[in-house]
Amino acid sequence: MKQWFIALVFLAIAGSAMAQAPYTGGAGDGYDRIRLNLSPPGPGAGEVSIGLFEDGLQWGIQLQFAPIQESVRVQAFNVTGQRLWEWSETSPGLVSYERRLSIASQVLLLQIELDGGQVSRKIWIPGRNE
Amino acid sequence: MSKWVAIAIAVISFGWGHLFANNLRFSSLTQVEDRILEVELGWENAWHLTTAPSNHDAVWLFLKGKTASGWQTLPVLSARSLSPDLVEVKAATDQMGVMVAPVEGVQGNVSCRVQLELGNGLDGEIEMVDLVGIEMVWVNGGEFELGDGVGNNTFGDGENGNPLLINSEALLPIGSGAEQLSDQGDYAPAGDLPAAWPKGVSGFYCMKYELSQAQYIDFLNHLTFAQQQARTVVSPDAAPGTSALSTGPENRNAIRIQIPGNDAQPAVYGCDRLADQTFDGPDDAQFRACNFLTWDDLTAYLDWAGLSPMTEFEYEKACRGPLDAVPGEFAWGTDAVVDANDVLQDGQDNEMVAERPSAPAGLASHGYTGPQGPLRCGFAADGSSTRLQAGASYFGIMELSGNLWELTVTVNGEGLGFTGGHGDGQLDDTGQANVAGWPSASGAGYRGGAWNSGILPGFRDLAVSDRFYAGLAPEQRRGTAGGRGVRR
Repeated sequence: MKQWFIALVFLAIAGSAMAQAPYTGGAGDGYDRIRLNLSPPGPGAGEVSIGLFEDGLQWGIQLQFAPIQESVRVQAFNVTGQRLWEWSETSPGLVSYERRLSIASQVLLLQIELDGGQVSRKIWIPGRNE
Repeated sequence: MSKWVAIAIAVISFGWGHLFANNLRFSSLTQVEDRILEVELGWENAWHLTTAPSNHDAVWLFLKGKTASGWQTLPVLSARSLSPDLVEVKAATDQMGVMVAPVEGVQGNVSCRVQLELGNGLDGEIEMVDLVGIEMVWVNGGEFELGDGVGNNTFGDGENGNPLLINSEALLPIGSGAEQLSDQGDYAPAGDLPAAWPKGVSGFYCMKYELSQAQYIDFLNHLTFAQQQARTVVSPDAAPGTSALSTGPENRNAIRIQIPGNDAQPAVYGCDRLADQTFDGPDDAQFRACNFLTWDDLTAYLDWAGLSPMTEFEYEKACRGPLDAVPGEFAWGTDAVVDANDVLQDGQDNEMVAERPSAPAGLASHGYTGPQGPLRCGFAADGSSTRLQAGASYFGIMELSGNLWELTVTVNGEGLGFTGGHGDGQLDDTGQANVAGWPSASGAGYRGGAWNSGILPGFRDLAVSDRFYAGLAPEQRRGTAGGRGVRR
């Protein structure tokens, strides 16, 4: 009997502590905001933006230019350094280029020469696990 | 003996399992389909209790999209919880937003993912999306006592002035008879209270905290230049660093113009407590309650956020809950108070005070000494605070007594035309709320006292049922006035 009484006291304390939940708090004020940019700024002169797209079956890559002034040359390599494909164009005013990816690799290294400048980018292709 | 050890351990883990912050935080917002957004959010000290007060907290989410012509509300058609064991979500029937609430039994930390289906596709027209979240508390439906029998101009039974049991949303007659609402005294009701006038018997969500300075800044930063002019006291093209809401004493309001605007480009506002042109730093008081709000300011915010002002009845229900009225009681249910004077971590997200009340007193910011302006929203609550220590209402709503006056719909002729509608997210071009049935300042008043309210014989502004200023129109910008909203 004595043991049950003590147990009930403990449970009452537990119940009381649980009931305090609405009254606790701490830092902040219960308010926040987050932003999603849907139209990120385009590339500046001499710059290229690289994006991935999915057409339902296959991943592809999209390059956006500022537009180009003279020429562009793109080379793609796999992780072992093997060149997979190359594309070049001399079309002042060109603003975008798209290409489907048929590589069996998750990582693609792009080397881009744009209007005399050069940039290299490593691209992670989501969803590919070959 | 070993049996007692096991019980004691279980009790300790129950009683001290609460964590130390309420920080509502979004960790990601992504577009998963043309019209589907996915958000990851979390907050601490969430609850959905099955024991008294048997209520829950929640987060009200709503979306704004920016187009070439400015910000607009994005309607939400439906919502889905991706963490159904933790939270349930409910899209509002008016498509103004989504309520995210812990499922029954949840108590403690919540981190969850929610998907929102928009009414319009996120095509190229929309440049960016802002998701806004406000912590809310569910005020249970049910009867409650109105008035405390002693407060200035208190509501009460027409026959004897005692607390009046409000147990229905039906028309409430006024008069001098039993079970009628007394029609005597200052700010007495102008007539019978219509059935459509919200009386607090139906459940509703109430903002857990008073509107913060960060919240008001976000609101201002989504308005046009002309709308900003109406919702601040200084023209938005004033110099950087100019106080936005006061031309005199700032009373701890840190909202300033960060980048001046012009007719073609609205201003950008930020918090700069020290006026050093460094905005929104860790001690710039973003989390303080926002003072200097008029009725027009508050209702504009609530319209923009899809919320609604609360009535005087709802204010008393949110404070007292179903418990018997105590003469002269404050929001925490007793008639004793300790003043919050000694500010610690001033301006930071954990701003608090040194005072700790002992039963039967509760803690509130009031009186003529101490900080000359509002404290942080939720300043009195910590990881183990009780209702008295947190100065909280029966349901867990903070600062309903003290800190800043609550602006409520009153019972005069204009106020009784209120029918409880919600904002539609869009203000008129001049920055005014434009919801049918919402009264102007003439149909509103002040309840609950503020940081400058003394507790003296005859003055008891913080008391739940005190109505000394209940019919004073909130037309002026006062350093003591703020507010909050509800969603029915």
